[in-house]
Amino acid sequence: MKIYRQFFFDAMVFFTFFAVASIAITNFVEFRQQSSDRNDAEIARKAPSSDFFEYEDIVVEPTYFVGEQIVFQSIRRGFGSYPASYIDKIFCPTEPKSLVATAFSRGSIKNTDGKIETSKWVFGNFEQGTKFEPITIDKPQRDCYVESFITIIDEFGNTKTQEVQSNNRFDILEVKPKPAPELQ
Amino acid sequence: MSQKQDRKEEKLAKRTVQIIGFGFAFVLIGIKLFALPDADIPWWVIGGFFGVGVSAEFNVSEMFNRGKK
Repeated sequence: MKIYRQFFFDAMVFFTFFAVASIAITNFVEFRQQSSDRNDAEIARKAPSSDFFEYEDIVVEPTYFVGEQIVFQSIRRGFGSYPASYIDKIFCPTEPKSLVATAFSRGSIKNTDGKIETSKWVFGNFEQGTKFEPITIDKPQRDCYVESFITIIDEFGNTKTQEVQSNNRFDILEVKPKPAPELQ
Repeated sequence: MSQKQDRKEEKLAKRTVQIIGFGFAFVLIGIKLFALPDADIPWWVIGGFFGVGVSAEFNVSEMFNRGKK
């Protein structure tokens, strides 16, 4: 009987000790989680109230040539914590209907765990007024960016310069005439 | 004969405490994580039972009485 009393006493002591240790550990984990949440909330609070992201639009000069088409590269970076849907939209601007353009785009997402996911390239041919929504994100993400390339050639074979604007649209700003062929 | 009986009893008591402690701890973890996640069993209860299981290997009275004349 004595031995059971002793075991009971030991069990109570260890129960108390381990319970206190568990409380300390869970509190610590909760504290870390709350710190992380506060940090995320702070990031979201600081982010501008734009549609989805704080965009930093960068237009890169023509990067390479494909036949008669000039390929422009624009990189769009977004940072924030949002229930995002579309991270990029491309509208064919108000240009002659004969305009043919091809856009291809892909998005990269840096998740909260630091893992980077890159979507597949999405291609789209569009005419005037066609909306091209290449990438959809269903869950809140942080630190996203989209690479978009657009090649445009009109019926005269002219290439066009475009610029990414803050309203998430590609607009053609100027037309560069095709250089006249050299006289033989 | 009595000593042998005591050792046997001690072993049995130790095993009982281990089964009660670890058994409850694992059952409660199973309930918390899989069966009834909404039951919200506190971690300190699970930790406490785990401690009961661990206590079978220790003798607190002996540890504190060590060094006493």
